[in-house]
Amino acid sequence: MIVGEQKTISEIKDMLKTYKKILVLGCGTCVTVCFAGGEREAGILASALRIDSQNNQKEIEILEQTVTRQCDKEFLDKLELDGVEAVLSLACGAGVQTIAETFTEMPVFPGLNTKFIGRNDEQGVWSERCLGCGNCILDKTGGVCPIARCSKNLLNGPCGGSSDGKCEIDKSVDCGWQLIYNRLEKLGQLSSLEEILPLKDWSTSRDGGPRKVIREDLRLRD
Amino acid sequence: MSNKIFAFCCENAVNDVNIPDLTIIKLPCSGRLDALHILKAFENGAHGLLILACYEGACKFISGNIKTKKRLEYAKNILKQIGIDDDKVQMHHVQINQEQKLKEIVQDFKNRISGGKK
Repeated sequence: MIVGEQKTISEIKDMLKTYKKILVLGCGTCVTVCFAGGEREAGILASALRIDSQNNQKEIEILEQTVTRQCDKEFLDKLELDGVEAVLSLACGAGVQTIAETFTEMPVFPGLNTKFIGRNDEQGVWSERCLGCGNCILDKTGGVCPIARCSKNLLNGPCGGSSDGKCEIDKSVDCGWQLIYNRLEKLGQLSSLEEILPLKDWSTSRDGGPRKVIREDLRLRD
Repeated sequence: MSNKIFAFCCENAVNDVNIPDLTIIKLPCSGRLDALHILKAFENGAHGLLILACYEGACKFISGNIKTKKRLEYAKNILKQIGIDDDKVQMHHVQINQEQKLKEIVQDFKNRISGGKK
């Protein structure tokens, strides 16, 4: 899932300071699961903004709504924007931009910082697992990604900073290559480490510019 | 001016009591409390908020009251960002036969949030 983290309320207030009717818009998918921008968080943030405006004698109307998925236009049909001057989107960057592209004359602001593609380690803890590099090599590394899990994105073993299974950037961070070694050892596939992985072609990643996936068989237009 | 105080109480820790200016909201366990409940209380005019939970080790659901403590810290952080002093929300441990202690907690809290004796 995409993991996000809410911006501070002071940052949010600063973005919205010129508007009198604001919709706090939650997203019911990834950011709901990571407790950053779902219906509950939209309710908490909207309530906090209402209390703040009451306490500061400001007449600001704060509405709240949550859609199933902000990054799919089909879920935006039922959005009620009558009189709304600005939308504070609690979706990831894809959701915020979809709102902006759909409602072209509506100012849209991000309520979250989109952090990474990750997983839930335990309740309340999420960690990064994928950089979306566009060319998956998990088959060669025992299902542990050296791009996302090694701080230097190394492809052929650890750097000299790996110590006791930890990364030199922070002793709380596992060395990605130690994880790969341990996993391959368990699978009885250590010999696969003898294969030298070629230099990575980053053109499938961000180096190739904004990316797009097209499935002609699914398209409705001719 | 009277201070409107809301108290979120574990139903296993607090009996029905009638204390002026106190609105009691019973929960099946204090662990049911969410930051949204705390925010909504202030949005609806609360001057202060009490959370009354069982003593640690006495939770019917084992760790509900421990979880409440963490959730309260999260909510206090939000309240702090909108200028609400964290003194306005207090958590106390009581048990069902401590009505006198409950009254003292409420009175002390009233004094505190009205700027009286600490």
